[in-house]
Amino acid sequence: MQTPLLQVKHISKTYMNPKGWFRREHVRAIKSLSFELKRAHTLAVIGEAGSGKSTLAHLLAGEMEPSSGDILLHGQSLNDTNKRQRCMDIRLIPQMPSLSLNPRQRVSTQILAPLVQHRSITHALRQQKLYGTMRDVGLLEEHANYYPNMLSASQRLRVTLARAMIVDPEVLVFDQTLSAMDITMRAQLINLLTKLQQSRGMAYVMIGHQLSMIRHLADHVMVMQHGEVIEFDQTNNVFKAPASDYTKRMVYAYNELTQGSNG
Amino acid sequence: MDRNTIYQDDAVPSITKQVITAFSSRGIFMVAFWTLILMLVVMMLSYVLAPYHPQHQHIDLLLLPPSWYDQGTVEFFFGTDGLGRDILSRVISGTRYTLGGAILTVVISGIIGVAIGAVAAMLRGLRSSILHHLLDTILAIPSLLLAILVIAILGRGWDTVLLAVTIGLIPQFIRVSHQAVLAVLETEYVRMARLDGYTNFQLFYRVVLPNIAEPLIIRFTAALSSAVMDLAALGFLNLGAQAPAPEWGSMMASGIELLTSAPWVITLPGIAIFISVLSINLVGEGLQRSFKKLESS
Repeated sequence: MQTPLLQVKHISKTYMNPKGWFRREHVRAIKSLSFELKRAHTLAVIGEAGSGKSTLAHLLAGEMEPSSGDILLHGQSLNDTNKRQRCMDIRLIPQMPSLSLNPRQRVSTQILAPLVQHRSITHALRQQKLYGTMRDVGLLEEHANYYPNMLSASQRLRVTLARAMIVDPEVLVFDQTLSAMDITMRAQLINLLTKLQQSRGMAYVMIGHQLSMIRHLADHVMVMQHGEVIEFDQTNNVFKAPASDYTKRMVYAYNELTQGSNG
Repeated sequence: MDRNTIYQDDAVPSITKQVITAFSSRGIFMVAFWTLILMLVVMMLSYVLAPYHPQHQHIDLLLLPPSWYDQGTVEFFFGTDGLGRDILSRVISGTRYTLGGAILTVVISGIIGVAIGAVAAMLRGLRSSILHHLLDTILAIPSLLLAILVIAILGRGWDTVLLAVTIGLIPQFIRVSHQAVLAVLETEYVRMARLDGYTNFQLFYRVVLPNIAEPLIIRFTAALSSAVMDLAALGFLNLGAQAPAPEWGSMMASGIELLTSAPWVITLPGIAIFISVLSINLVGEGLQRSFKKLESS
């Protein structure tokens, strides 16, 4: 058996919030969390507000260092590899794509930004790469010269996807990205993401509450509560036989909604 | 690669071009802009354009009225003052003092103020507080009063006045740039740019600076008009440029006792101040609206 693409071993994160002048409040956002993710697989992370989902996204994307524990990519610890390289291998898709684009920069500049920073390649090759990636995410070539305010919300999401994918990452982390999208757009993007996963073999970590989406995309579901994993299973099992109280309620509500609308 | 060529669109104009297009679509702003440009040209060519030396005293032609009066002559278009000096030449040379001095002070205080404000915003903790709040208290004092304060310490004179006005303008720039940079640094796109691997300097230069250009440009024009006013006011109070210098404010002050007998001595430099401040403010207003248009499109 080969080593999984992404291994997370007992990571924890403690925030130190200053409280008053000298005292500090320790908030344990994540307590000893472990999971593994294979190539071209998708893991969904759900949990209530304050359960540490977003902290997990930050830790994976390399915005913060975990207080303890290890994140391994291809069996190599990420703590000692170059931090820049790590940010290229695991890419974050932010919560609100529209806000995550610089309004004063052309789309092409923003998509190319990570490439320009990290790889010294020729101009022609870079342009080729830009147009290739834009085509892959369903953008037209002339969108390259646009400013973000000229694009629609779903096109902006596609731009953030292109920006993440231009450096050929291994893992994409979606920090509640699709929750603000409407139904038709979400359906389109789910198709797009499945296609990209198949052609590129990327692994996805999806953080969010969209159970309908999770059911379509995810291979495994991880349920978090108070910084701990309370359930981890294959998607089908979670939907058929939820183990924890929280998941039961979520799945029950989901079934009520979907069946209610069907019948 | 099939390009969608049904519509032969022009290339998407850059942000700068869009602002210029929006600005030039309003006639009044363009009039103000060209007035300002004209004044700048006059300022640079003042030695060539002035018909007489601004200090030269035509002893036999004291208080000659402007040419549109019956007694006036075309040789002295704006007339002469109480010492027989040609007012047109003095107004033209005065652009160097009042307008040129204002531009100089605004550029210097702008560079210093923006640098301090930006550094304060990018730093955290005590150092940031010192840079920011120390100068925040100075902001409570109006710039003119602050300039008078500096003059009270350093003594009067043109150099002192330039220094005083510069110091008076710095706090505004610090405040504006500090707030603008802070607002930009909190945005999601800066966070993503950090993950894309921008270094702090690249982040400032490529992401932060284009996004704070709008408040800074507007602050620059506002500061320019207030610098013109301050320099003229200090000149009028006889704290700034000293007597023979053709600074517009001090020209007005020297003509004050002739107000009833020779009103042109005081009104013509006054009109020059008025037109320059008005056109600077209109250009600022136009730029502000152009940026607004950009947001809403």
